[in-house]
Amino acid sequence: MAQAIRSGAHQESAVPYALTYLGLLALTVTTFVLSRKDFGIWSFVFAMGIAVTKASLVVLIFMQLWHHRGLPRLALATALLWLALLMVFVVADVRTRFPLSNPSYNPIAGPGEPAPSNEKTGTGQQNQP
Amino acid sequence: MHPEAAAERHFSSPEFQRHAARLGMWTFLATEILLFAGLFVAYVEYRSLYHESFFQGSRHLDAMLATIETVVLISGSFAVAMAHHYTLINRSGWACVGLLLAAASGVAFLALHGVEYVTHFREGALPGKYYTFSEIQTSGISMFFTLYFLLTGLHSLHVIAGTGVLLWLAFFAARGAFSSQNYSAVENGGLYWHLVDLIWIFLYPLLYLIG
Repeated sequence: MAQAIRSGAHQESAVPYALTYLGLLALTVTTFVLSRKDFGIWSFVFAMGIAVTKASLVVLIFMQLWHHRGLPRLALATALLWLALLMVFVVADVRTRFPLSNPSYNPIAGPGEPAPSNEKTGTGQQNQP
Repeated sequence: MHPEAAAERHFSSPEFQRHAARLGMWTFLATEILLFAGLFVAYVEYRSLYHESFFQGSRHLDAMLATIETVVLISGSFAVAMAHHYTLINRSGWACVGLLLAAASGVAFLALHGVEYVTHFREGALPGKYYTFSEIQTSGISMFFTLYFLLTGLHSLHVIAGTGVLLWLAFFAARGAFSSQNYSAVENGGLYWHLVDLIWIFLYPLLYLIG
């Protein structure tokens, strides 16, 4: 444990920082240039792939997770896991809606808008709790 | 504060104290990621619901200006990393310079972002029902600008806080308060600044680049 704490506490060379900085600048210019052209679905893949690469460089080199193994990595991994769970279940909720899982009135319709309803009887407002 | 700060009594050594401080900071950063998580999820949902509006809204934003802002923030992160490095080799003066440069990058970022905000205020591309921009009137466009202001606004608040932290660290670095034996404040303040950079690395493509 003590060995693990000591190892990597001191980044002795500044060269990795400089290389990381140059890499981040190059990736930023690359993602901007690529975004000016339309690659269809690949535009999204390129942009997010480059973002993840840049984030990894910042986390591993600037934030030193390459050296600081163990608990700091666990803290970050846990946050990313919770983020993924939140994302997956919220998206899954919206994607799997069907009439019986929806309110019979439109809860976010603006004033004067008709309330869409999948039920035979529904102007909807009368069912509002 | 003293360059040879001893460990608190409940730590067996300064190394363990630094380790605890680092873990505490990472735990805090994890909660910061979750603070932004809700807004990122909202972005994903509304983007899928109003794809055309998000495309038009994104194309309307100034991607070139955002690219310059990205370079400014990345440069600030590099300056902080170098300040940490100089602290570890006991070059307090250079560490102070690095921290000041990073703080300057924060101020520059806020100024550039202010230019963006002023433009949107003038044209009426505002959140919620205050949206009055006549050039884009597709369904859901108001949600794009609502999320744009929430995401960049929350991020800018972090830039303001981070800049304050960096100035505070620079002040103590100038007085020679940090050294290779006492660098937790520089390390953890730096981690906060890198997180600000990290959030922006994802906001930049999501808001400005992906049509």
